[in-house]
Amino acid sequence: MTKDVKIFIPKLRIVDLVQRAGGISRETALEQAAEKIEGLRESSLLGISEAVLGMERILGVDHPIGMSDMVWLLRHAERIVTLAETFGHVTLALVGKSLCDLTHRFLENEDGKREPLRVHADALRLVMPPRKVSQEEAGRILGELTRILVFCGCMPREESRLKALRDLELLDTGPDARLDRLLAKTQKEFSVPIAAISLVDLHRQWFKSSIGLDAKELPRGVAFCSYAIENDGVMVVEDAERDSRFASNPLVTGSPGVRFYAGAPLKTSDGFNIGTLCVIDAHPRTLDAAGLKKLEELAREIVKIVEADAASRPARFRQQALPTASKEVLGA
Amino acid sequence: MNLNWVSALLIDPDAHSASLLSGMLDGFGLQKKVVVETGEAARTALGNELFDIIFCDAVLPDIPSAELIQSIRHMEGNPIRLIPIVVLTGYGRMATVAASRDAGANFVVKKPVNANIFYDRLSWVSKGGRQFVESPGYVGPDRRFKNAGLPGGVGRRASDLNGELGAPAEPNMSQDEIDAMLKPMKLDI
Repeated sequence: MTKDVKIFIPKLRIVDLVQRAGGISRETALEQAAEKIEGLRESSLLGISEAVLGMERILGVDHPIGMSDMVWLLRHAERIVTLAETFGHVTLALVGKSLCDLTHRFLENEDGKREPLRVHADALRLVMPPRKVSQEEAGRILGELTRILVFCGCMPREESRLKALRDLELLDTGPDARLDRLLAKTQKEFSVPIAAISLVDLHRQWFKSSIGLDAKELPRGVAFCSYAIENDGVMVVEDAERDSRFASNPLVTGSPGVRFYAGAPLKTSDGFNIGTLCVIDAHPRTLDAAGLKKLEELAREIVKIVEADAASRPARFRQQALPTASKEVLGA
Repeated sequence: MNLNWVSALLIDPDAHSASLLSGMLDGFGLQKKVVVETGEAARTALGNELFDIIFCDAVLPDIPSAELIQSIRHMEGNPIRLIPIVVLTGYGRMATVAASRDAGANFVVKKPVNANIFYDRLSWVSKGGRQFVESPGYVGPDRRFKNAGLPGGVGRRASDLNGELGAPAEPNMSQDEIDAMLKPMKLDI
C-alpha cells in the first residue's frame, strides 16, 4: 500500500442522527411511504399523459429526429416506466420499456427512425390509463412492438430463438401424456403447488403442461420464465417480494401470490432457451444443489422428448420465424 | 431508525420521479430535504447547507452525474466529501452504473425504487462502518474486493452471477446485477 492511500472509517453525522430517540419501525415507515406514494397517483397520471403528449408532438412533425429529440424521448420514456411500474400499470410500463430500448438503440447508432418511434407513441396512447386494456389486446400490442424491436436490431438473438421454438411446432398444441407425467413427477419431487412447462413466445408464455395454474398463457412481460431463459443455469428466486425484479409483479402482488420460483431453461441442442420447466410456491423457499441438478435433468428430458418428436415429423416447409413487419410501420 | 433529523439533497431533473422519491422518504420520516434539478443547483445547495445524504439521478441535464460525485469526493478537507451518495437510475440508463460507482457512489438503485429494498439500504448506510478510501485514483467508499471466484470454482446456487465484470451487454440490468457490481464481496488488502 502506498503512502498516498488513506483508508479510514469516516465519522458520519447520519450515523448518530438516526439513533436519536423518536424513530419509527420498519413496518410503520413502509406503511407511511406506501400512503404517501398512493397520494401521488393522480399527479403521476398527469405526468404520464404530459410525456405522451410531448412525444406525439416531437414525432408528429415531419423533420428528422435529432439526437436531442431522442434524449428527450428516452428521458420521458423512463419517466413513464418509473411511474407506470410504481402504480401497477403493467402494460404501460412494458410499452415504455420497449420505447427505452428502441431509443437507446437509436442513440447508439446516432440514427433515429420516426416510424418505429411513432408506433410506440401510439401504443402508449392505447394502453394509457384510464383506458383498460384486455390481456389479448395487450399481448397483440406488445407483440407488435417486440417485432419492431427485433427488426431494428434491439434483440439480435430473439429472432433465431423464436424460430427454434416455432420449428418444434409445440405452441398451441394439445396435451402430451409423457410431458404431463414428467411434470407430475417434477411437482411431486419438489413438493410445490405449482409447476409448469412454459414456452416463451414473442409476447406470451404458453404452458404446454401445467399444474396449479388456471391460465393457459400469460403476457410475457409478467413472466418469470422470460427472465429465466436469459441465462443458462436454473434461475432461483427465493422470495419474490424481496427481489426488485419481481416485487411489484402482479403475479407476486396478486394471484397466485408467487414467492418462490425456480426455472430450468429448456435448452435446445442448437443452444436456444425456448422456455422453462419451473416450480413455484406461495412461500419463500430455497433450493439446494441436488434440487438444482434434478430440475435441470428433468428439463433436459423434456427437451429430448420434444426434439425427438420434431425430428420424426416429415420435413416440410417450416414457418417463418416472424411475419415480416409491415413496410408502413417500419418506414422501410 | 429515526430519519427526522437527517437532511437530504435530492437531485433529479424529472419532477415526477423526484416527487415519488420525496414521498417515499417522507413516509420513512425523512422530511428535511432540498430538491434540485441540475448539477449546478446541487453545487450551490451544497455550498449553502449541510446535508447528511445525497440522492442523485444518474443522468443530469447539465453535467454527468459522475462528474458531480467526483467533485464532491474531491473536496479536500471538507467533511462533505465523505457523505453517503445514492445514485438512482431509470430504465435504460444502466450503462451509467459503472461510471457512478467509479466516481465514488455508495450504491446505485434502479427506479422505481422499491420501498422495502430502499429502506434496508438506507438503514445499512446509516449504520456507518464502511471504510472510505482516499487515493490518487479513487476517492469514495471502499469497494475493493479481490474476486477469488466461486468456492471450488463451482457456484453453490443457480443464481450465482458470473464473476467477470464486463461492458454492459444489454441496455438495462436488474437491481440484483447492479448490487453484484457494487457490493464489496471479499476484502483482501
